Amino acid sequence: MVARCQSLFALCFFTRVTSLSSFLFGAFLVAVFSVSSLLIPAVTANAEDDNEPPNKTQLDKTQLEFFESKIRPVLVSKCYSCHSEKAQADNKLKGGLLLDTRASMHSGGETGPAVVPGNAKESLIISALKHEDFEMPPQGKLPDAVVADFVKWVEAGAIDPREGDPAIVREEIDFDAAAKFWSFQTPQLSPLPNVKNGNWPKTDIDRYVLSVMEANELSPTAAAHKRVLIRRATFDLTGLPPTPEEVSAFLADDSTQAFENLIDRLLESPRYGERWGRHWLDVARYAEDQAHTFGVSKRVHAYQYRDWVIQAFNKDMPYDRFVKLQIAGDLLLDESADQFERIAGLGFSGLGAIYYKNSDKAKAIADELDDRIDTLTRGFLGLTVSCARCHDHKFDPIPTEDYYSLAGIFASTQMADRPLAAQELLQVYNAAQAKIREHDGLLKKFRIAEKERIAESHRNDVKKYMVASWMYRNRKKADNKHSTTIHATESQLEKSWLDRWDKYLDPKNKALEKVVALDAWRKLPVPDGKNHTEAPPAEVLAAAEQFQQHLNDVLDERDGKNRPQPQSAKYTSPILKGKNRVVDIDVDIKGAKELFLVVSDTGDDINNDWASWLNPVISGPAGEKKLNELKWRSGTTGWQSIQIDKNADGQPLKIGETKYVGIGTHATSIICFDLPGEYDRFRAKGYLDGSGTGSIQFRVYLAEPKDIVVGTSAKLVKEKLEVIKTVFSHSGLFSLGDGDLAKHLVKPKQDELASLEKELQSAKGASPPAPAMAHAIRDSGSKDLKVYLRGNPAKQGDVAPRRFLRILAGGERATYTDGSGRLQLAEEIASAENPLTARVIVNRVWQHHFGNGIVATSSNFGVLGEPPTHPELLDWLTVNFVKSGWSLKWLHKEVMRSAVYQLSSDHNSQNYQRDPENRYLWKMTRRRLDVESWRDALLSVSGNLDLKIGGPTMSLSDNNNNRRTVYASISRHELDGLLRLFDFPDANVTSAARSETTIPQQQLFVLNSEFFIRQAKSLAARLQKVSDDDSERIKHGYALLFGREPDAAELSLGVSFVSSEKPKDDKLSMWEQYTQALLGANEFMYID
Amino acid sequence: MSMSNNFSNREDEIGQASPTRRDLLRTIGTGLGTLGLAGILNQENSLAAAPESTNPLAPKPAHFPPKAKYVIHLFMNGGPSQVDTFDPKPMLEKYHGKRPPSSDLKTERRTGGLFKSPFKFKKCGESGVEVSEIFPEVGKCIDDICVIRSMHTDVPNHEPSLYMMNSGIIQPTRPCMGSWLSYGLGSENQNLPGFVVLCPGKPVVGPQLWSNSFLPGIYQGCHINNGNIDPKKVIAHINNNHISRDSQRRQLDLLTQLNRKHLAERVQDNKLEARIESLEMAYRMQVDAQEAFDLNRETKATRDDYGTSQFGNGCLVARRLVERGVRMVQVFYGGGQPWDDHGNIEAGHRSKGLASDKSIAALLRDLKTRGMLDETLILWGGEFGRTPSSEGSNGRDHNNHGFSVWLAGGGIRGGMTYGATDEFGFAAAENKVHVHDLHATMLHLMGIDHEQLTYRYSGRDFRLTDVHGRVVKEIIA
Repeated sequence: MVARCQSLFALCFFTRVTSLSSFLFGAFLVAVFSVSSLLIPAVTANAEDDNEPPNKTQLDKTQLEFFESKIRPVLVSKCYSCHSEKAQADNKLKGGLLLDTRASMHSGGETGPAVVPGNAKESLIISALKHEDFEMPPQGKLPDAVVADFVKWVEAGAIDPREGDPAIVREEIDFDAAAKFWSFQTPQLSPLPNVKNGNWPKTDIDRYVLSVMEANELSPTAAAHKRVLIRRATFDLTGLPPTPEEVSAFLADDSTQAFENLIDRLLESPRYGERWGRHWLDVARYAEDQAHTFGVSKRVHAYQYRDWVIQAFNKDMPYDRFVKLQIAGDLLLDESADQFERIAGLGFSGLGAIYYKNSDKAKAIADELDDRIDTLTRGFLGLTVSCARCHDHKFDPIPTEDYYSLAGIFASTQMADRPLAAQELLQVYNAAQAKIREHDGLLKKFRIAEKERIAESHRNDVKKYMVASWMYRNRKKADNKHSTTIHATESQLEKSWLDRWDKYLDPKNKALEKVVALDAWRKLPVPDGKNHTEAPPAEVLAAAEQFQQHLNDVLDERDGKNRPQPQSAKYTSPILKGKNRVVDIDVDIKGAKELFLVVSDTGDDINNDWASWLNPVISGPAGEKKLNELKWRSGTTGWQSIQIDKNADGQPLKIGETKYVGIGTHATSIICFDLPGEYDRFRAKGYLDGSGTGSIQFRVYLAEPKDIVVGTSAKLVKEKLEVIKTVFSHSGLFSLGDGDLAKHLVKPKQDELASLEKELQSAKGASPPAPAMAHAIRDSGSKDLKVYLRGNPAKQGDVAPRRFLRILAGGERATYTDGSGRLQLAEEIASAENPLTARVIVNRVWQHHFGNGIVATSSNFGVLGEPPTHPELLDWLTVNFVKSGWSLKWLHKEVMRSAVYQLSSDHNSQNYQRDPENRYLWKMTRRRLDVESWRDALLSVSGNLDLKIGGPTMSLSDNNNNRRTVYASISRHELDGLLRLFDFPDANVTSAARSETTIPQQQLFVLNSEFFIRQAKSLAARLQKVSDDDSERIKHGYALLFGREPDAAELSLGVSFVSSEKPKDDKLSMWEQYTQALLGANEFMYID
Repeated sequence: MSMSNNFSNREDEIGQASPTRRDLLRTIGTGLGTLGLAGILNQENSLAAAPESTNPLAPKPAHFPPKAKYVIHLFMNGGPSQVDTFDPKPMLEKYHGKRPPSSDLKTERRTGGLFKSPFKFKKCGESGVEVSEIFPEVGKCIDDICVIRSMHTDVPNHEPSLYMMNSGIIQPTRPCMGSWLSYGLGSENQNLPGFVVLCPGKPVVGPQLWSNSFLPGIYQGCHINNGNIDPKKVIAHINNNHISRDSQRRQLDLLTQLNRKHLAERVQDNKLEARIESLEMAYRMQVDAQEAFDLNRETKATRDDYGTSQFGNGCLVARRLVERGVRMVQVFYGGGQPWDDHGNIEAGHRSKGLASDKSIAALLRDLKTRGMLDETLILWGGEFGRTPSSEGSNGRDHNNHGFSVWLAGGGIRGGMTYGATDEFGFAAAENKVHVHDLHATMLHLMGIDHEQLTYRYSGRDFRLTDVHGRVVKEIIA
């Protein structure tokens, strides 16, 4: 049996790090694993420093006492349970940190030295105790006095008598040792093994497989029947069942080439790419949206990537090229490829996760980089590089630096929607579009200007339309047949305007309530239908007149007519905000009769605009008067009320500890004093009071300030603008539709409009159709990242030059300097020298043919993955696959023409005893169809399958969706219910294999769903067309669904069922009930 | 693995060894372990998976004797304000309008001065724990409740915090806690989903909140729209609109005959057998699930107690499901993010508090009367709290630094508060409890060591609590 990794799960962290990476991952303490030999001690500088322990006698006695009384007891009681040699022995050590010797405290744990003598700031233990980065101890912060003791102790030199070597040293990866691991070895052809049963093997593959079987005392089961074989092969390569005709033809073909011919035919079918492209889309976590909600729209061009993948499989694109195009298709200098081929494959990254960036942006970006790296390395290399995001990979030779080398490449790359057209075509298109925009803009501008001009020219028709709408309503009350069309014609009004006015003036329109100028109108009696033939009532006329007058006034005001003269304050202070909170005010007020003290908000709309006039005094020949002792004539304030000797919050007036007299208020505020006599000067301190975060200005006026608005008048201004917009804007009550504009224009304007319209039309006509777009990526920089310590973007370490993984590229790796470095990365991943890339895809193909990979963990070829069951075979396939020109079709054929692929799924109890999981392939493993093949097969045998290739997606919940499931919409946010039910993977992360669960909800879909019943009905209708004879129909059904004839028992079961009487209330015929059962059969769902 | 099933021991302890009505409502199906339900063919099975059973939803032994067997999470999505509900702060009265330096913690938006709670608090129960006037009935149950006043989470935004509360990480890439619980403990009723989420409409973020993620699909949350509970529609395809139940029985008999014959020709295939059984379960589920969701089977008195609001119905369905052995039920207060009162906290919180108060209290009382509170853990709370300072004139912003949740039943010490925020209720200050700690504690109460409940995926063992989590033992009875 294959040994499973036995590892102990343990925590690798000291504690929580705030905003630590999402992919933090617990370390595995290596107990029994051979990989521990990869880790060798490295001598650290701190350890050297500690080589000469201080002589105990030299230590200051008081400091020693301090340590013993204040420090050691705390360490023992609060820290040792997780940070001591004992904790280490008990596998409870956290963060690789020991605190039970001086030396290990100085050398520190995974984040650095716990104690730096004399420097509390650099000592992590201090920040941990203060709960700054780490929070220690985790049960709760220690009393401040204890923390202060530690600070004092460290600052005084951290005198510590505890002897002993640092038991933990940083471990470094031994790459030479690591390179000996099987998956990092170059694949080698080994001599074909000898086998006892020399007759069985058909191909070299079989010799490898049989030798392993024989070594395990297993023997292959019988070969599969041809009926089974064609069904298996057809589902395998195309995801669809063979037709009865295809089955007959194959059975009739006795030639030795029959099966190979079948394979060739299936590989040539466009259905092949649809099937195998989908396997790759699992790896690429293909989806058309994001899992989260805020600010995400569906990625409408996502299907281009899906179609690209399908096409690549169909045309047998060499796999190395397939890899390169997905990483750096845009950077490949490749004249032969069209833009679709070069760009659309970049959806591999371009459709990757986008996370919510509203709060912790750096973290979200780091998580996105992790998505790219995880998908790339597990997908192409079968390596879990993401494990190295926070610390060196605990098992595989991947240091954190390597992770950030790759992260730098993707940090220099951005998501980009890119056109799939040639550059020249694109330039033509872009120029044409610019032209269209320009003409469109001119036309729009003209229309808006003219519409508004026309609307305002009707400013004196306001009354007319208001009265008309009232009259209309009144008459409508009496005569239900009355309409605005009739009313408009009779009164010679514009019907559309009457409609709008009527709707606007509808008493139910809430917006009216805010319009003060319509107060009178709102108070009018509701039209009751009486006297509708008579002249309008006087109060209606008056209310309409009032509104018309108001609108005219507002328009005049807007146009600068009757505007109050702008008036400047006698004094205006600088803006007070932040630390700048006090200003001394001294104003000449000679001759003034009134004094206006004003505080204005500066428009930042922040609360806490608390303002105080401190020691406000007027002085002059009449003497000196404190304004806080004077009664003001009027006072307004934006919040609460104006207070004497208190601030807006009712607290004493103070700056720091200094108390003042004065007036407290809150912007915006106007306080008006009548000046009682002869005063020349006004003096005060203006103060932005309290903990206010606002910003204000102090002003002094000697006449009523008309340019300052307090309270409700601010609303009035907005309301005025709102009202003229409602009535006169290009979409207002007097607006015209584009089509009606011309007839309201005078001749030259009409011509101008016509020519603008014509120019736009011809600009549109001159543009080529929009190029198809793809969600792709492009270079955005050329910069290395620094290592994020423990995955925390806020704590950065050394620069990690962009380059490939050391274990694959060697110690003398090239760094990437050209753009993002994606091209070099693509070349190194897709290189024949790379021991992983070809192996990984060969194994994936094997997995989908046999149900299990030779390496069962097909996205993890590392130490924690499963070792290969047939390592020599995997190498043989890999070497020959590369030799074939990385041809996947070659690989399929080579695999399928082997005897092992053609085994039956028959049980054998002897074999079963030895290898119940069939890891050594003594039979073919029976498999359930995945959801795509099953749904497609249901549609296919029912005669409903639409074989249209490619293009935009369609939801599976759409009843008209009879297309293959690979073309369905795939959502990360809300996966389709059918897909979710049948083990479709979560497209948020790369998926190596489908899980297979059997739950009753799946069977409810079979028993009750409308989809299933539709197929049952279609199948029944299809069979009924075949013949009038029930037996013949049933036989045809078996041929369609199962590729075989029913036996006598099955036939009679069927005949008796379909010929039984249908219960009266059933909406399905007995035939439909029968076909539903056939479609729901295990035989239809499982492939032998 | 040497875990023992301690559920029965626990039953002895609480004196319920004899079959109860609840046992009859559950369909444990003694033979399930041998049914050979295909189970999970995931390439990287967890080390913790119980090897003896191949039905992934079969009840599994806990790590140690559990205090609780079921969880009901009353999820106040949107983020209720702690200082207006369960964390009274008299200092806010005194410093109303001021903005002391301690309130300069980063939240989503800038807030103004401190803003006193518009609600009165009252000492409740024998314990005298203070509860806001917007929860008068819950207040009467306070002696069964433990309020954690020192909760904190990482980010002051809904989306990441919703993920954190539901799946222990701020990105949408991990299984949620209900999935973890189903995976770890299975379900006691094979005719119902093991983990049910009641939410009228969709919460912000949506179905990813009850996602199984990389765990097998069987552990996903089954979302029920309790906006309109129609037993015929609650579970997809639960009702056949085309043929009678008798006809369906005949049809299923035919199908079973075909499948049995197919199986007979193929020796030793558990997967085929499992599907045959699963079809039978589906047939039964149609009745059982419809029955479970049919609130008309409750007495008028019970319906009146719970109220017939969406949330009240959700609480009542939750009880019916737990009674039938469903492992975890989440009741979202509403679709969207109803508790997100950025403006007018007084009107918003008062209406939501009072609207849910009666239903929550009814649930607690009902469970208690039925002897189920001991084994059912109730969690009340949102994804974060709100600022004690004002947003706009009378609202509050999101606050991840400190907030309150409460737990009841299922081994919780009632009538106590745990932890504390600072003097104004801004940030957790004493005995801080992170969401990871809450998760660890909940798992602990369910008999699970949160460090041992792992799933091997992508070359590593994943946990609900990632690398964090401390069991808050102080609140356990």
